[in-house]
Parts: sequence; C-alpha cells; structure tokens
Amino acid sequence: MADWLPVAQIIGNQIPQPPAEPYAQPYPPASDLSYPDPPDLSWGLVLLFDILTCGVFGLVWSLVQAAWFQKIRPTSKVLTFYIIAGVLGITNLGQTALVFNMTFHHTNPGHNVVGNFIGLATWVVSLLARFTFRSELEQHYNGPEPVGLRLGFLMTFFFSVYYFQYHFNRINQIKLALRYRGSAL
Amino acid sequence: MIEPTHSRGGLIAPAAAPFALVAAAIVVLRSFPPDQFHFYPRCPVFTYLHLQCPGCGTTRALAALLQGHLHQALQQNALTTLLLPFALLYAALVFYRALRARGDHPMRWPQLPTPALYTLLAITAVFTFARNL
Repeated sequence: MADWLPVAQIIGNQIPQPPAEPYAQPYPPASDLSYPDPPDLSWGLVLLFDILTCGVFGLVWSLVQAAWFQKIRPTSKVLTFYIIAGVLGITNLGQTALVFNMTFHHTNPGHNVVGNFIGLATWVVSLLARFTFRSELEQHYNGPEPVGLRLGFLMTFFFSVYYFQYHFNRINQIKLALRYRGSAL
Repeated sequence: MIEPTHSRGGLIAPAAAPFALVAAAIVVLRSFPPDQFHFYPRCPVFTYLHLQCPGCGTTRALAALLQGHLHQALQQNALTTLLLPFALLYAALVFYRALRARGDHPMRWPQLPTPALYTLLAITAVFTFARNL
C-alpha cells in the first residue's frame, strides 16, 4: 500500500505565480478602422428603388459597391467584371428590344443566336462578378478588418446586391460601435 | 499651415449636376409626352410577363403631373405619385448631405426607421398584387 506524501514533496516548493496580465478581449486595433466604410444605403431602400426602376438601380448600385471595394483592394477584378456584365446586359437589352419590335410589327426576326449568346455571356460574367465579390469580401472581412463575415451561396446567387448591402449595413454598425468605443476609452 | 483650396468650378459643378439632370428630364417629358412618343424604354416585366410591376406607368404619371393632371397621374401609377413628395424630400436630404461631405467625413445616406421600411415594402407588394388582379 502506497504511503501518503505531502504535496510539496511531489511538486516541489513552487510558489504559485500570479497571472502575468489580466485577460483582455482581443479587439481589432484602431488602424483597422481606417478603411473606407461600405456604402450605407439601407438594403430595403436598395430593393425598393431597384423594383421601381425595373432593375436599373440594382445595376448602378452593384457598380457603386464594386467601386467602393476597389478603393479597399486596388487589385480587385470585381468592378471590371461588373462593368463587363453591365455593358453586355445593355447590349442584350438592345438586341431583345429589336427582336420584340420586329415580332410586334409581324416581321420575322429569325433565330436570335447573337442575342442568346450575349444573354448567356451576361449571365456568366454576372455570376463570376458576384462570386468573386463574395470571396474577396470574405477575405477582407476575416483578414484586415476581422468582423467574421460569412456569405451564403444561395443568397449570393439570387440576391447578391441586397444581400451584400444587408451585410454592409451590419458592418457599418459594427464599425460605428468600435469608433464610439475607441473615442470613449 | 496651408489649407487645401477648392476651385469655384469644382464646387459648383457637382452641386449643379442634379438640377441640370432634373431640368433636362422635365424638358424631355414636357416636350415629348410618353403617350405620343414611343422612344421611352418599355418595362421588361410587362414586356415579357404581361404583368404590371410597381414602377409601370411612372414615366406617364410624371408627365401627367408636369401637365398638372393629378387625377391622370394617380390613374397611371398611384404608388409613385403618392410617394413622390417623400422621394423629393429624401433626395433633398441626400443632396444636402452630399454637399456637406468631405474627405474625412464621407456622406452617410439618410436612414429610414426599420418599421417604416418594412411598411413601404409591404405597401409596394400589396399595390403590385392589387393592380394585377
């Protein structure tokens, strides 16, 4: 049977050290607030204006969002993709209007191969733009400005402009709160 | 320390641009009424789905308002006609804030209270549903 020993003989005469520093919440440093704030128009108004303008406002606002991101990340390709998608979209709209007018006036427009191709290209470039934007936003808001941003696939696919804007509104609130905290300390 | 100076042209041009755009739109709408001239863009929703979106008839409503026909404007698009005063107020506030914005104080868009925003979206949805019955 083992004999009982004093604790001091087992672990030695170590004096417990007080903790070196009190626990501190790892807040992001103040320099992280130096990036320009995202566009802060409410996502609901973006949706409303987009509905009332048949999608024109959504196109313009996605360019505004991409232009802002270009300031944060000058190497970003998002703005270029959105511009290409916009130009293709307008071209496609012109083609479609032409075909519609010909059909309306009972003139056979034939098979609109060019229009279909431009439509497909618009769709592909637009998807490329929104998913590149999603990826770069996640990189930025989990790196230089750590707010733990996660963006869903389906929401990005269907509602990218409003969805991104919703998160921009949220990020603006966080940054505003951090600024108040910084000025209060 | 030398303060950065702005040229008068650099200050006046951005301030005058919205007024110039609005004036140009008014001239076009008054000179070429949408019910007589057909170069205005058609609504893609109505073109392809034959459904009236909440914005359908806005151009004609604005043209009617510019002629002083409120009743006709309400018939063309009641939602945008009734929202127009609020939209103008909001635009004026945006314009004022944009003028006051500087490099270290960027413009902040005026925020609408969340209940007002949801009410507005709900009214738009109900209006769209009702006008397509």
